[in-house]
Amino acid sequence: MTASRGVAGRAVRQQWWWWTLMGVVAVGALVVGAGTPPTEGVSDDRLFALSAQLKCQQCVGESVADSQSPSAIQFRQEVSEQMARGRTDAEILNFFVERYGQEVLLTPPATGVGSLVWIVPVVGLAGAVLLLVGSFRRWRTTAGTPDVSDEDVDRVRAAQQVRRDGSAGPSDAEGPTDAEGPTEA
Amino acid sequence: MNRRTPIVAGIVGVAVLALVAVFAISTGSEERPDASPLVGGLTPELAGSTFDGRSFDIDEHRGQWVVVNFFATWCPPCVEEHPELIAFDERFGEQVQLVSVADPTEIDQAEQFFIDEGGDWPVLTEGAESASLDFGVKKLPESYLVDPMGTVAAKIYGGVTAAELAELVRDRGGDLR
Repeated sequence: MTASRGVAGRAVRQQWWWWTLMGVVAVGALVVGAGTPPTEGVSDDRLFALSAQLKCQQCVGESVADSQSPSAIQFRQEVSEQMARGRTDAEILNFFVERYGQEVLLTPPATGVGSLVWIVPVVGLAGAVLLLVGSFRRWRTTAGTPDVSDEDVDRVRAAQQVRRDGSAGPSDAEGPTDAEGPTEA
Repeated sequence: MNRRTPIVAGIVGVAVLALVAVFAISTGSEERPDASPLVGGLTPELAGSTFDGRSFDIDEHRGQWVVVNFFATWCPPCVEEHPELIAFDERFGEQVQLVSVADPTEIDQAEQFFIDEGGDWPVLTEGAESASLDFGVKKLPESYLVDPMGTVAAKIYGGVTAAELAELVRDRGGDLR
């Protein structure tokens, strides 16, 4: 019984490691596959990456990269011209922020109130993990030390005795049925 | 129930409430449509030529209040506010320079609009293609009030009446008579 539980536990632990490994590989593949857009020079990739960070002013929930509105087209032309003038990504994005305010950016800022968008999920996740770890520990401790009374112990001993007596005699074929029935202390 | 559960629940509840309050306050201030990072700073460049080939440069109007109006003929609120701009120009045109910037994609329509509806102030049709971007125009119509020092004094989002415009100039220290 104990041995089979041990084998099952090992199997669960092995599965857990496999799932973790697969998760790490998947995240790694996503990061590598997504690649990093160029941050200098003039290219469609850079234009798209920068435009995707700007909110379309005449649309709802669309970036400048996705929209065909006149304002989005004008934004892309401006980004393109500024790339050709050798401006950095930060300079180009700042050009729009200076005119339209911080809300022109689809990515929240990493400072001020906007930084909460980045901090809160991390803190929340860390808190959730800590709570889970604590809960698991409590469950394991509780499961490892069952609340057994002296009466329970006596009952189990009696049952074991009955089984031993039964297996020694001719009525061995009846098996554990005897042991499972009501026993006398 | 665990003794710590109410404490944890209380902490989480307070944190969530604080977060909601912070986001509610910050979102409210960001969504004000008349807010602009330009207000309080030097006006962006605004120069170009008008329907009749005359040139206009906002820098040549230092010492005078200027209202820069962005419009398009396809925009109903722009059409609606036009008589108000005419009234304002007729009443205060000597003291406040009104200038309109036409949508670069419909210059001919804009010229015809002014011929049909009236309006005797400069309308930039060429050389000011990047003006809406420079001023951070989001939706038409929008107007910007520039003070005699060349500082953007206010952004007006949406259509405006002559009375509102005059009040805004006075509110910012203009002596309109």
